[in-house]
Amino acid sequence: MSLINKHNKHIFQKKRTGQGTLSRSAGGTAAILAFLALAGMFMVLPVLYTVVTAFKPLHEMFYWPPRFFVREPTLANFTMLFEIVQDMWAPLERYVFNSVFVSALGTALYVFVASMAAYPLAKYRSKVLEGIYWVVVLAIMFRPEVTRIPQYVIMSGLGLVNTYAALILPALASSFGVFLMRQFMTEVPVAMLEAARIDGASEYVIFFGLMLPMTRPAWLTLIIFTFTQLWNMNGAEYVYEESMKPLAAVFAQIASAGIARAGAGAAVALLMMVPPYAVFIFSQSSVMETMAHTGIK
Amino acid sequence: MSKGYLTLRRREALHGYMFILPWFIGMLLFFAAPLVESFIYSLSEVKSTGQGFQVLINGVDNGKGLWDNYRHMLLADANFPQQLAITARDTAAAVIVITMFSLFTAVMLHAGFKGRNLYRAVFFFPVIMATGVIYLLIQEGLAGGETLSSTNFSDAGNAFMFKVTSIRDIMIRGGVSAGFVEFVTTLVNLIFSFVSKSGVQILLFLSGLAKIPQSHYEAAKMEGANSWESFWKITFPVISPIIFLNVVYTMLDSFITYGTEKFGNVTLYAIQQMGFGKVMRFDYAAAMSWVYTAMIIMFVLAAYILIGRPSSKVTE
Repeated sequence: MSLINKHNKHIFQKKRTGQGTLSRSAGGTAAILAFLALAGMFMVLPVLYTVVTAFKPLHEMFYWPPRFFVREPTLANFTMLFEIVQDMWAPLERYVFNSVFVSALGTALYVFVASMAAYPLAKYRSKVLEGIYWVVVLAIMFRPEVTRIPQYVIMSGLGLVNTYAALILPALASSFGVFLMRQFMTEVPVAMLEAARIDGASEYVIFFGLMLPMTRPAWLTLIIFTFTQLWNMNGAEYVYEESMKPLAAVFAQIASAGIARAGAGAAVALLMMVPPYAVFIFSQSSVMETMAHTGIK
Repeated sequence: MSKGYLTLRRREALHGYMFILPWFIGMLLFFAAPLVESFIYSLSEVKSTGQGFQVLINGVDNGKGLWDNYRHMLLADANFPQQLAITARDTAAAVIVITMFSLFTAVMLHAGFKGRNLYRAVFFFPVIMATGVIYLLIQEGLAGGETLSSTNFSDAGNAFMFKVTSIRDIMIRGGVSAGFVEFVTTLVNLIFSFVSKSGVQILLFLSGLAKIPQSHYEAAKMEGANSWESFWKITFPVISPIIFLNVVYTMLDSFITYGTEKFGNVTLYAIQQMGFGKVMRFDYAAAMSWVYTAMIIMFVLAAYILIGRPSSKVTE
């Protein structure tokens, strides 16, 4: 806990002197960095290993005891992957388009729909809304397993099997984003909303002009979750026509084919990681920009 | 006065329903309806026929008792209650350790120091690792990862194997006693399983911390508060809804992450095997997942009673 003390002391001194890092004691900085480095190591190693492995020739993958770093880096795994993809039923661009389209549209829709639903749950009061809030809380506790087969029955009843809607719509029904946005929206001061109402702002103006800008870190974070989830979605239950499959489904097929394709599997693991990471970096740098310029009060 | 107030309230509520409606329709159609259906399955005998499923409700369409699936699970099933207990214990431990660890880490990451953006990126790694294809690969690795002979695991699986085996290997070669090596590798595994699941929580705490204006801390400092006090009086109240959010998230994450027969979430593995594995008894699997869900709800309810009630502490 002394680290927290040091951290806060540091904040005050930073504001006063304008050169934060210099004013903390050297021991405090070292302790913080050591702790973060240790914890960070546990997070980095598997990822680093995935990256390194993607460039390993096949025989190096099965060394025993395993070696961390690659001796003779090669691009063979990627060439192998692209050769396999050439032989798939639909062209690669089609799978990429499916994934990008479903992830991007699904994320945009869900973040919007969830924020909209969260606003009254956070800021209005009524018995019905309280009931709906409890539905949200209860709903996030159910595993997809519970509803998997009945969901398929409904999908096929609506004639949505083998459409993009089958991949996007179930994600929109998720409650976690609503819960997340509501938790953040309760933080927005009621006085501010009332001031806006007195000035004659409609509820839609308040939502778009006040709530969304003020909860920017929250929905930027929600974008990351939703995108990652949709990007990695296999969708095998709802979409079995080859030209509608997302990249994740195709790559999962390739990667699970056994030792002979271990190299392609390693390449897949690396490639699938890249887009969620790009979204993360984009969104987080935007969060930090917001913090720096407006201070989000 | 009171009449005008009421109509304003009512108009406000009407707007509220408009805002909720799009999500609510989706929820009803793709969540609530299948949920009811699944509950019916749990009270039935589901037979797989050539064309699809045949649902015989117990006690109505056949000679069984209505609650037979549940009765069998809790009274006759040798494994399931035990699996539930293991999962409950693991989750309780994970919630306590992960929440504290991620709050601590987030507060530190929030402080300005060189390279903190890099650190933030690093702490997000597990979020991407823990989903989708990569997770599938890791799972395959874990499933067969215990023995040396199982070389058929895929590559990301090696990433997990790496953490234990090579450390163990290096230490044994270095002449360290076997008991100590065992202790260290168990510890490393444990730390890894907690730390690697803290990414989302740290991110949520950071989003919460980002909203606290610096001026609050400055004002507190002026008034003579030390940093311990300003943590509890300024930081803590603002992020306490996020603490509840994180506790719930950690619980759910622990409850929904697939395990294997012996490792991780054993309950979910059992349900998965029952419903979609070789046995394919979807009725019994549905009943299992309903009991499991009841346990999850009890956990979240306990968290709500302990820490989640809105602004009970903040306004005081």
